Amino acid sequence: MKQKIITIILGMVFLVGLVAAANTLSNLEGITIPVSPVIAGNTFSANFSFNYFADGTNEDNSPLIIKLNLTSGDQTSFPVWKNDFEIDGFVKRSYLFGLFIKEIPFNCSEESPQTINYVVGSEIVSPENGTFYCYNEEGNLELDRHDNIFLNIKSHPALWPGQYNLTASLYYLNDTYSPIVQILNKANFENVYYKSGNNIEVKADINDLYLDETFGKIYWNGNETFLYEVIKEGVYYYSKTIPEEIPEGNYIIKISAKDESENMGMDETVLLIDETAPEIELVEPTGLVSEEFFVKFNVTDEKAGVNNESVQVRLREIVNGQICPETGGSIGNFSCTTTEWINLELNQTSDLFEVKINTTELNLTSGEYWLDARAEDMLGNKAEWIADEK
Amino acid sequence: MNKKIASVVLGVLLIGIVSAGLVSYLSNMVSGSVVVEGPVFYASGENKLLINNFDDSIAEYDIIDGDNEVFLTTTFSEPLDFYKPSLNMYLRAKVVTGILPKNLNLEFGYFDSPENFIKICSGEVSINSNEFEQYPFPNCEGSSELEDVNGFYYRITGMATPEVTCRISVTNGETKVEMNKAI
Repeated sequence: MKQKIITIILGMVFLVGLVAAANTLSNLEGITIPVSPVIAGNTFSANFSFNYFADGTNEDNSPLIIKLNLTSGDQTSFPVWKNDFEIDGFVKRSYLFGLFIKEIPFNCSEESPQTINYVVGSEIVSPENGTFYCYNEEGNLELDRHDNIFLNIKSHPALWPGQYNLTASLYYLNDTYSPIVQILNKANFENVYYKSGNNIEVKADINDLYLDETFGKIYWNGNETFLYEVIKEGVYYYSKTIPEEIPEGNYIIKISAKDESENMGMDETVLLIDETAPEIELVEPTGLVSEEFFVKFNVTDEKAGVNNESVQVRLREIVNGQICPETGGSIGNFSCTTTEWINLELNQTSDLFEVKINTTELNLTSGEYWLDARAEDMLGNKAEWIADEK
Repeated sequence: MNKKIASVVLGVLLIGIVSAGLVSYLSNMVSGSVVVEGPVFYASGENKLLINNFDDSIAEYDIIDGDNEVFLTTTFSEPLDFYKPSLNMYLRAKVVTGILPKNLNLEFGYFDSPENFIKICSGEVSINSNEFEQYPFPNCEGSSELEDVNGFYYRITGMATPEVTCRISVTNGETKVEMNKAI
């Protein structure tokens, strides 16, 4: 037990180390300032270089935000003020053993406060006098690259003559942007009902540079049911066969994502569950019928709707007060008739399901018959109508 | 025993956090330094006073008797404050008419408005040749820090000796003023 605790804690220590040491530059060289002394009012250059190795913690396309800090040799009496320097520069990268060289310019700002808008986040910083933030997202860190940074520093003519110290460090921008989650097939849920046993599949697009965790859940009556996740070609699929324990009702399906900085993103849709069968109401016949007669039912289903192909009736002969078996055959020593299920069609004018029964065609003799009716909604919820009179 | 284990683990945890932070901090920082010197003002053609860069002007100006020539910088876009200055003033000049040597007064200052010229420092140099030579007047200190500076001027004035003509030259930026901070 103790060993387990120690292992877990040491693991945490290791992870803390990894996170804190992310985006580590290697082989830093500089800062070189080729021309010194510099005349106040003139522009001078400075450069430094580093490698960004794929060491397992560094990530490709990480922000390259350089924080520059200029201080004077007598910061007490002659501190650096705003506008004492203006700085811009560029990242110089070589490709294919130096055959191709790419220069990516960037701007440096000492505006305070300033908002650093970056693909991973937006952060408001308030640089002190002499502190600059330099970046251009096009110049993001690339793994296993050697970057040369060149700075053009324009000094102010009224600058106090003396020594100035310049430091450059990599600025870690906090990831403040939440993952973007978008359910792509909401139309499959917002107007469509499901029942237990149905399989649902939610298709989602999830984007974040540093995605850590993704999941989908159904939230119902204070409970949560996880969805199965499959990622195919960058698209997230969440599926589940709806369990019987989820009762009829309207619930939320939520697809959530968390990035490494604990930013959460989500999108949601509804899950409409219909476990109620259609209602079946006899319209005709209501009394004695002759050789030909209509059978009409009013069949309704509030949610999923009636499956128009499912409304059927059958007639079962009554002999000596007993109803012929569903399969037909006989009652005691007397043979009896049970018809096949007969489909009713929807009359678009009356909205009733009806069929014309020809007793001769069905080989029905005069007598008493029991009328059965059944219908299903679009989900297969079945209803049977039980006659209360013959 | 449990307390001991907890203390050791806590210690390791703290060391982990601190060392990770330090490694990151130290490995991602570089530094350098530069020495900045004060600006240099170069006299040029059309009585211009250029800051830090002289041009290819070979203009010459005659100063007769008590005449003077004033070289002016352009007006700054906004008033500037400067430290208490120490000046090295230089003049490239020769005597054209008159007996050697002849003195010229050098004055450097600033203006806080187009009409208000404020002297920082002045001094005389003795021109002792009929050929152009550079005459320095070093280490001329101002008395205080400069406030609301809208521009600088460099005035060269004759000593009002009759029938004397001195000629000054701006060639190669040799008529200039170096400004640094006073110690």
